[in-house]
Amino acid sequence: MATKDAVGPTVESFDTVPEYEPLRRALDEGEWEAVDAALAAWPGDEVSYALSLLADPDTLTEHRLDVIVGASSSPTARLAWANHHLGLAWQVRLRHPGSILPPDEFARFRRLLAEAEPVLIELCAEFPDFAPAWTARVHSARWLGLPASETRRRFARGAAIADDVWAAVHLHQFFETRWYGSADEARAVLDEILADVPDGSLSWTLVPRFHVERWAEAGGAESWDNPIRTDDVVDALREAAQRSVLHPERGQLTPTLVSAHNAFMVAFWLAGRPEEAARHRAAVGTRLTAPEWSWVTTDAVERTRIWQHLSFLGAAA
Amino acid sequence: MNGSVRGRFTGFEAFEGIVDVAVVDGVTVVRSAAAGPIAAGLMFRVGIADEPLAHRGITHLVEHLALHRHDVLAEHKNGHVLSVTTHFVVSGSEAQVVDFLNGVCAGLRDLPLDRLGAEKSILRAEAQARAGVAEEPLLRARFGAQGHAMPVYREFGLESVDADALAAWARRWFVAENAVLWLTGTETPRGLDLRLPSGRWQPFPAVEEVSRPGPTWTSGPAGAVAADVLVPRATVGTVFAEVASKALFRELRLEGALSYTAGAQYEPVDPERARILFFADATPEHEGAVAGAMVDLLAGFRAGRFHERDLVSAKKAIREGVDAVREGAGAASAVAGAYLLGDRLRHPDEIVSDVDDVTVDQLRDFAERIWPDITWQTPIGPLDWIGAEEVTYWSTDTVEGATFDFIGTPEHLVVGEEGVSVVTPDGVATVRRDDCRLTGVQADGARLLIGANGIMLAIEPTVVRGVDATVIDQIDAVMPSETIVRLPAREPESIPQPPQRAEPVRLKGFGAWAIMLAFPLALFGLAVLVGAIQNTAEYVLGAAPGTRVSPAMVATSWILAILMIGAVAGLIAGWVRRLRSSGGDM
Repeated sequence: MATKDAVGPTVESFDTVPEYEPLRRALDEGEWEAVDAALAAWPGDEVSYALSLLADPDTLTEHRLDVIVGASSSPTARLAWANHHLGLAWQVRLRHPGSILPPDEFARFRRLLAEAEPVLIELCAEFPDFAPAWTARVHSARWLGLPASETRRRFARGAAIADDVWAAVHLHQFFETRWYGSADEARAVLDEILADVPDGSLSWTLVPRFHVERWAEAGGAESWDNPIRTDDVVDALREAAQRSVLHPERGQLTPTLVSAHNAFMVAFWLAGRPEEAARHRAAVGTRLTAPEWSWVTTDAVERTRIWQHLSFLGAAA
Repeated sequence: MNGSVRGRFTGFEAFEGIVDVAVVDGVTVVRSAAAGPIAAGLMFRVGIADEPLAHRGITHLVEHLALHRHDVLAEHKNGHVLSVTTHFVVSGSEAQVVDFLNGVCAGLRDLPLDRLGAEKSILRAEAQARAGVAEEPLLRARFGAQGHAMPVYREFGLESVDADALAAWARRWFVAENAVLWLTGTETPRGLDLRLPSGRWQPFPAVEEVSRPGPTWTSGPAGAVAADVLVPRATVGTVFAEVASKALFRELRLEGALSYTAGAQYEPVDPERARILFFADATPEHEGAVAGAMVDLLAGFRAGRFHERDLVSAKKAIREGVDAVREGAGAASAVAGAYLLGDRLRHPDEIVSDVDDVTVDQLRDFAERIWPDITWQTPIGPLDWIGAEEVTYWSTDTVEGATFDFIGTPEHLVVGEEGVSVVTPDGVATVRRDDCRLTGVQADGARLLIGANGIMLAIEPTVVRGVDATVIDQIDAVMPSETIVRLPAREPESIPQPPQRAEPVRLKGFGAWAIMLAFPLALFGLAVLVGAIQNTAEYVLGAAPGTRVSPAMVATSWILAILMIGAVAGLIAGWVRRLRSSGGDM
C-alpha cells in the first residue's frame, strides 16, 4: 500500500473523486439526464455529498453551471443549484471568519441563502421523499439561524426517509458550541441520533467529530492533557469505528465512506494513536477530505507529512 | 314567501319550504320549524368593522345599554358585537323570548343614556380582562387602521363617545330596515314588539386593503404562528380553507405534537372577497418548527400534495356544516344572516354538489394563486428565506413644514399644514390630515396619531426639542376634529424622558503613571538618602583627607532626601486612593 500510494495524498474535490467520473463525463457533455441516471443508483447521502462537491463555487465551471440551470425540471439539478448558492453564501461568510459580517456583506450572505431556500422548499414540497433536499435544508437552517425546533423538524422529515450521515452531521453541528449550542447539547443530540441508527451507519462518525470539537475547545495541539487522549474517548472512537466504517456490512469504498474514514483518521491522530489512524489511512489510500483535515492542518506540506507518517506505520504493521 | 331582495341575496328562494318569512313592526322575521324551546336572534348589520377608529367600541356600548335591563348572565340570552353584525340571541319559552326581544327593542328605541358612564366603566373592565387577538399584526398589516383591522385597537370610543354621538349611531344602524329576526317555530310569538326607528339597510362595509407586493411577513407575539390572505369568494376557497385546517391539525397536533390549536378559517369580508386565516399556537421551543411546518404545508399544496384523509374529512365537515342549516335554527339564522348582509345563499344540496366537485387540481391552482398574496406572522424573526418581504410602516413622502429635532436621537419631527412626519434614519412615517384616523390627546401634551394604513406616530414633547403648546395646538388644528380622542392620563413614569447626559466620572487619586514615576524617584531618593547619611558621617567623624563637607551640604542632602521620600510616598498614596475609588478595577 505504501509503495502504491507513494505519489502522495489528494484532497478530494468533484474532479478527483474516482466514483464521479460518469458524472463528470455526463456534465461535460451537457447531459444532466445521464447525471440523474447515475445518481439514481446511489443512496441519499452519496447523492448529497456528490451534489455538494459538484456545486462547490471554487471548482464549479460555468459550463457545468449552465448544464445545471438548463435541467431545471430535475430535482437533483435544482438541489445542485441550491447547494451552489449555499456555497456562494458561505464564501461571503468566510471573508470574515470568526467575526461579525459588515452589514452589506451580511445582507449579501442572507440574500444568497434566501435564493437557495425557496428552491429547497419547493423541492421538498414536490418530492417529499427526496431525502437529500431535506439534508440540504438541515444545513441551510443552521446558516439561516433558524430555531432549533425547525432544524430538528427538517432532520426528522429526512430521517423518516433514510439514514443520512450528512443530515446528522448538520444537525449535530447546529448544537455544537461553535454554532447555537454547547458541549452538553451536542452530546445529548449525539446520543439521541445514535440511539436510532443501526450498526453500519455512517452516522457513527458523529463520535469522532464530537470529540475533535472538544479537542479544539480544550486548546487543541497546545493542550498536552487534551481529553481526546483519554482511554474513555479512545475506546469510544474505536467502538464507533467498529460500528460504522469497519463494520462488516460496509462494502466497497464510496466517497462518503472516504470522508468517514478521514474523520476517524484525524480523531485517532489527534488522540495520539497514530497506529489506529493508520488503519483508516490504509482504507482510503491517497484520498483525504478537506473538512476533516482542516482540524489538523490546512497546510498541504504538513498534511502530506502526516499522511506519509501514517503510510509508514501502515506498511510497518 | 317574501320576495324582498337586497344585494345578492337569494336565500328565500333557495330555502323555499324550509323557512318562511313575515314582517313584524317593519322588521323581517325568518322562521323555521323546530322542536323544543324557541330559539331566536335579532341581528343588525353593524359591527366593529363599521366603526371609525376614534369611536371604536361604540357598537359595544349600544349593545350593553340595550341589554342593561336583562340578566345577561343567564345562559339563554346575550348579545354579541361581531365584525359586521350585532346579534342579540335568546332561547326559552315563548314568554321568555318575547320578553327579551321586546326589552332589547325598547332599549334600542330609548337608550338609557344615563347609564353611559356606568357602562363605559364596565366595558373598560371587560377590555382589561379580554385577551388580545393573536393575529393582530396580520390584521394591522392587511387593513391598517380601518374596517376589519378594528379588533386590533383599543376601544377609544369609551373615551370619546358622548350621549349625542351614541344616539346618532343607534339611529343610523339600529333601525328596522337594518335588522332581521330569526326564530324557530312556524308562528310569530304573540306580543312581540319589535318597533324600532325607521332608517335604511346598510350593505357590507367597504374593505380597504393596504396594498403591498407579497408575500410579506411581520413579527408577531410569542406562541402564535399565523398567515392570512384575501381571496375571491368561491367554493374552492371554502374547501381549500377546510382542507388546510384539517392538514394543519393533523400535522401540527396529531403527528407533530407541536401545537394544541391549529387550523384555518374562511371568513367573508365583503360580497366579493373572503379572508383565509391559517393559525397555530406553539410553545416557545416549538415556534420555529410550527412556522416551518406551516410554510411546508402550504408549499406542498402548491405542488398538489394533499392528503386523501384531509380531503375526505374536509368535505365531510363542510357537508355536516351544510346539514346544520337544512332546518330549524340553523336554517333560520343562515337565511336571516344572508338576508341581512345582502349576501348570496344557495340551497344546501347545491352547496354540497359544488363542494364535491372541487378537484385536487383546482385546490393546487388555488394554492399557487394565493401564495404571492400571503402575509405571514411569526415570532421567530425574518422570513426572507421563503422569499417574503417584511411589512413596514414607512411612508413614501414627508410633509412640508417646521422641523423639530429629537433630543439625543437622530430623528426629527415635521409639522405641516398637510400632516405630521417623523423622519428617522430608517425611513419616514407620515400621517396626513386626509388619512388620519385617530388623534389621541394626552393631558401631558403628548399626541398619538394613527393613519389609515396603520402608521402610528407618538409625539412626545418631552423628547422633541422646541415642541411646545403652540406646536401641539397646530397639530390638533391640522388633524380632523372627529378623530380627536382624549386619552386617559398616564402615570408620570410612563412619560418618556430625554436621554440623560452622563456626568464625567471624576476619579480620585493618581493613575498608573504615579507608580511608574514613583519607582525611579524612589531609586533616586534612596541614592540621595545614602548620600545624606554619608555626608553627615563625614561631617561628624571628620572628613577624609582632601575632602571637605560643609554643614550646608549636609542640610541640602537631607532636604533633598526628605523631599524625595515625600514625593514617592505621595505618589504611592495617590495611586492607592485611585485603586480604592475605582473598586480595584483599573
